[in-house]
Amino acid sequence: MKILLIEDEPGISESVTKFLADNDCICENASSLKNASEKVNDYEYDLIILDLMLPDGNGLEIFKELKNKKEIPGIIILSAKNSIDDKINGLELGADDYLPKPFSLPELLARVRSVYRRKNLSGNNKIVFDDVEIDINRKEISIKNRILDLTQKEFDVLLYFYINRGKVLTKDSIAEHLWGDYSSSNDHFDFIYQHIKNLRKKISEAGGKNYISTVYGLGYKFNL
Amino acid sequence: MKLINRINLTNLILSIIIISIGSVAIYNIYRSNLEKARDEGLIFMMNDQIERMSERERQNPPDNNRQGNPPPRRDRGNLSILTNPETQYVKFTDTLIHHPPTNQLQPYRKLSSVKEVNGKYYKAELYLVAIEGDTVLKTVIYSMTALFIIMIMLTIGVNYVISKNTFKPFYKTLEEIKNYNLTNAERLNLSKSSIKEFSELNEQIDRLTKYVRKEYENVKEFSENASHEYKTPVAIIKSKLELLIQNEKLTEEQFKLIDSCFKSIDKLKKLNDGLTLLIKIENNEFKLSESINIKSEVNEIINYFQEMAELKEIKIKSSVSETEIKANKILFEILLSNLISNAIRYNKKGGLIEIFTTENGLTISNTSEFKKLDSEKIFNRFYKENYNEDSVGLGLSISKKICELFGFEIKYSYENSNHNFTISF
Repeated sequence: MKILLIEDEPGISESVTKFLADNDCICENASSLKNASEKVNDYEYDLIILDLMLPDGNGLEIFKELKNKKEIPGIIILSAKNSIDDKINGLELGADDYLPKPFSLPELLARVRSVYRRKNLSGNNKIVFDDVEIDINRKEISIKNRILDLTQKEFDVLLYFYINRGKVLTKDSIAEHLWGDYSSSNDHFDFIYQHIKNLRKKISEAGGKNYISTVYGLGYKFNL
Repeated sequence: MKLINRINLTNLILSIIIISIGSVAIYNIYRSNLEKARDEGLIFMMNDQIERMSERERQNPPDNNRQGNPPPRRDRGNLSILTNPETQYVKFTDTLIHHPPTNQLQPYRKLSSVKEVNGKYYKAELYLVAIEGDTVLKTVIYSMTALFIIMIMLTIGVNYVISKNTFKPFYKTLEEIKNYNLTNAERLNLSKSSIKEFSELNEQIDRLTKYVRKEYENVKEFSENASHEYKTPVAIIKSKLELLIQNEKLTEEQFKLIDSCFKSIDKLKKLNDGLTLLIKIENNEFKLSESINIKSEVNEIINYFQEMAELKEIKIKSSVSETEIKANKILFEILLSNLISNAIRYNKKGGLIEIFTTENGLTISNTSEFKKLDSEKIFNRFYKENYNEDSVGLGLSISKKICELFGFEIKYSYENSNHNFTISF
């Protein structure tokens, strides 16, 4: 997947680029609106991650450049301006998702995958590894062809784990993924513990491996 | 008190004072003039009578057989010729004389005098009915009252016209100020006035609103910028830490250190979100006046927190009526979720939360192991009664601000070891 990251803050763009590159994405950088316009006109991208506050203007300007494109890439807006207006504006102009700063990298990756999937519905929406099959459209997980009886949150958390496989996920990041803006409270951490306990139990009952490991009270890791 | 009424009242009081003083003065002047005229009348009568007597004396010399003077008449008095010369004098006295028809004593004015005419001395005693003060007073009072009524009616009428026309720009300015909203950029539409004070007032108000508006923009811009500028470094720290924890060589000790960094970042984020929200509420950035059904809102929030409650084995009982209120939906949801999440967070395992509507309010009541809270301080910013490392201490002050914005009242009470938060609509 080829991604263009339009972000003027090097601290953020370095982290994002590194994290996405580790997850089989090719990530290019543009640090200004001008630079971004050039890149958008010269190359094709599957997805654009867009910061709204750029040194030479509002990131929303880039939508004008995209209008002439044959295939419009998926767009995820990153913004420190937690203003509802910006969110609505962006989504109305055709952005696919909106992520307020400070975001977590695994969450960004999950959004990237989700937007990409939505843009390419024709593709295979089934993920298969070992004896496990994840059907994203039907929100079902089966092990050895037996469908697991999972709650919505358990499905979400497993998919999130899979997307960020091999990475340590903090409880904070999992909470943010599951509960969005209202999350990030310690109350939710007990929950995550509960959900993961149930998930482990259900997977092992179906004969699956123990994929989820705990990382010293900080978070969890999904190992393939 | 309305300006016009105030002016009318002042006029009324002033009129009463002027008319009262005027009445007393007029009464006295009128009376003394009357008395002067009467006394002059008496002297004229006396001179006239003495003259006529002296005329008669001259034509018919005195007859020694004649028995003295004719009998005195009460209303006329009497006149006599003195045999020996005496000093001349004129003297006025007030006296009472019996008045047969009414059988009452009536005040009379008496003139006693000795006067020399053609070498003869006459003594005169003349009477006139005294001027009755009552009559004078009545006349004065009647005329003054009439004057007073006419004056007041005229003043009120004139004032009414003045306030309708002259004060028109003033009332228009007042109306504009009443409807002024700092959050929308519209300027005040102040009409021009030919009256210097009013046009000056409008100028100054215009200047003041422009200044306030500018300051407001500055503060708003500053808080928005501050919030934004602050989020970027936090986002960087967070992303760097997330990359760091992917390092497989990290020890448990190091993970623990990083974990506490994450916790602090989370707290910073919440602090910033909370403060930004407070600023937005204070800046009136939320549009009001949506009709909200309390029951469906409460059910939605309960639904959201159900899992969390179940985990702590807390039961949520709700009996909320279908009440409609006017508020902003987003803020009302924040208010409810703040209160309900608190009710869960500070509850005990296996506890109970009751949410119910009263006549014009909504109460959220929870069991807890914590003692009674300080109802004065809990709504203050950053006040934390029971230390909770997850809490930043803004939830209740945000709740209170939201209530204030909608004109609701939020109160805390502690009964039968239950903590109750009641919102009165």
